[in-house]
Amino acid sequence: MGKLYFKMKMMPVTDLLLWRHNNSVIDEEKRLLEGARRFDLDCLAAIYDRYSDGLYGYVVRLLGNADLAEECVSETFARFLQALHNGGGPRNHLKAYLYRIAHNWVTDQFRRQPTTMELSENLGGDENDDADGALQLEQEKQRLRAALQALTPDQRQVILLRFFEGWENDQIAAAVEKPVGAVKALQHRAVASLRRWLGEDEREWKHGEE
Amino acid sequence: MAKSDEMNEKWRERLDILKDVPPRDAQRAAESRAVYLERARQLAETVSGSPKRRPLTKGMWIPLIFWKRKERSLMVNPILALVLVLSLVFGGGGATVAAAQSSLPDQPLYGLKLWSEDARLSFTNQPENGWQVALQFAERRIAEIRAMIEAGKQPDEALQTRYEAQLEQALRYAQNLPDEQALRALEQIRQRLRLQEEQMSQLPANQAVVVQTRKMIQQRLEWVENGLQEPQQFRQRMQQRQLPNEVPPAQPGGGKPWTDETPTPGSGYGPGGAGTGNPWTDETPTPGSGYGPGGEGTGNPWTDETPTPGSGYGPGGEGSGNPWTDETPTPGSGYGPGGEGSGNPWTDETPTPGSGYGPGGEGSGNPWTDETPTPGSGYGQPGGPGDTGGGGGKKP
Repeated sequence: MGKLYFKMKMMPVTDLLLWRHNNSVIDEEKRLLEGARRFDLDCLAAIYDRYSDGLYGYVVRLLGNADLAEECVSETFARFLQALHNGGGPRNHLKAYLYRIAHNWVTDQFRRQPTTMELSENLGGDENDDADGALQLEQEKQRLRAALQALTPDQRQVILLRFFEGWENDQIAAAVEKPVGAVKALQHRAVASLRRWLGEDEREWKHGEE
Repeated sequence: MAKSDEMNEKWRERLDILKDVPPRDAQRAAESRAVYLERARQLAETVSGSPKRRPLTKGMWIPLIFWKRKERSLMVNPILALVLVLSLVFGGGGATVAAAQSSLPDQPLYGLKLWSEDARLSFTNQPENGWQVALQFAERRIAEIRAMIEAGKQPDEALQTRYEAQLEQALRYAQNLPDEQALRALEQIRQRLRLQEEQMSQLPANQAVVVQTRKMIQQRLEWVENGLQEPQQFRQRMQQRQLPNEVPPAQPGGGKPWTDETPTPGSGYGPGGAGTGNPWTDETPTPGSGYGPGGEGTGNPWTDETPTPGSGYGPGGEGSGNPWTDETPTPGSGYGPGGEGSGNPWTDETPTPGSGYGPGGEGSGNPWTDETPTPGSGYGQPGGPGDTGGGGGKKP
């Protein structure tokens, strides 16, 4: 209790609000999870509505393919149901759990088809008048994805959750099932790897230009 | 730290271009949701309401093997374990014993085979099938002897001993049966013995075990055939054989005494008649019970030990003299001289009047005392040959 009081006292007001928000999120997650373990269909539906869009976006960013992303979301929730049915499934950190399943699916996907990271046409949501600009943007996206693909699965997951989803380190730690210190180290090495990958790439590109 | 944050920020911005995701296809999303909920509904029907019945499996695999499995009654696993253990103990042991049943005396499992036979026989209390079991085991011995010889090995004598014991047991079980069943059993035993005899006759006769076993089979066959004629006699014979140490066969010439112990002085044992043993009783005679000596005595059948003076042993019949000591008898020890039926000086002391000792056989001539018998003491004239003690002088 003293520890909690100290934590609250030391927090800026915005952080305190965020902390309270997080706590209520955790409580809500817990409630949903308990319902899901009883196979309460309302709770199961609520979980889907709450997380499926986020998961879809997460996978699309990684794979750049809407079909694969949709498939991944279906598969993630199917595995979740099966785990609950088998008496398994998460006790807490439901969101982290779902992202971990999705990420494992993506990793498997990379393993199965390591070189077929092509840009799909069905991503053409940005109808840019400037065709050149659009092309350059797509090329940049492709390079970034290729760089992400070069990371280890854990590094990639940390980068995605941190930079795209905006998660805090402790949330990421729950998703990758590692201590916070290890998450920081993973992030550090991931950034170094990206820089090396894209930096060399840029140098080559520049050399080619000259 | 600040540099690291800066770099992170730079990469965050750079990766931001991936953040832009085209909106999800609403129709596909709805389809995917419907599939998910349908699947959830199906699974909800096959799952029990209590999550406690579906324990978390993670990290608990060792106890789970024996205990916590999903959706299984709590009692099933202990019962399964018990059944498994019992079947291993008895089934496994039983398998070894079963494997031992075909072993030969020179094989390691043979001891187990004999043990299992003994165990089975000791559990067979009923004569109705006991004789069959014992006979069956006896037949195994014959088969073992055959197998050993055929394998070029020397059968052990213990095999024959065991065969004899088991055959004996079969016969004993048979004689305990009611008459009709006993006859039927004996008839079957006879047939089997003949078969065994025939089997033995095919083996080389230079093996001592074979010869002895054959001889024994023939003897038992004779018994059984006699038994079929006269079951009562057979029964008696078997009963006598049952107590071989307690009732020794009587032998002519007064072999074994009635007791191994030194007779108490004054107990007045009389010698037996001609080889008849003690016809009066099996029990140790009480002193003063007035046994008379038999006719032609046979020497001292009662003890090998030197009699204590005054013990009053009577010598045997004709000319037996004094068999107990070479020394000159102490006066009054009561040892009688030889000569026909020397009589029995049972005591040094003056016989109590009315004790009624009778002298031995013919002309024993040995008085129990040097003194003149007190009148009325009851020492009378020598008794007749082999009589059971002389003058009856009863206590007044």
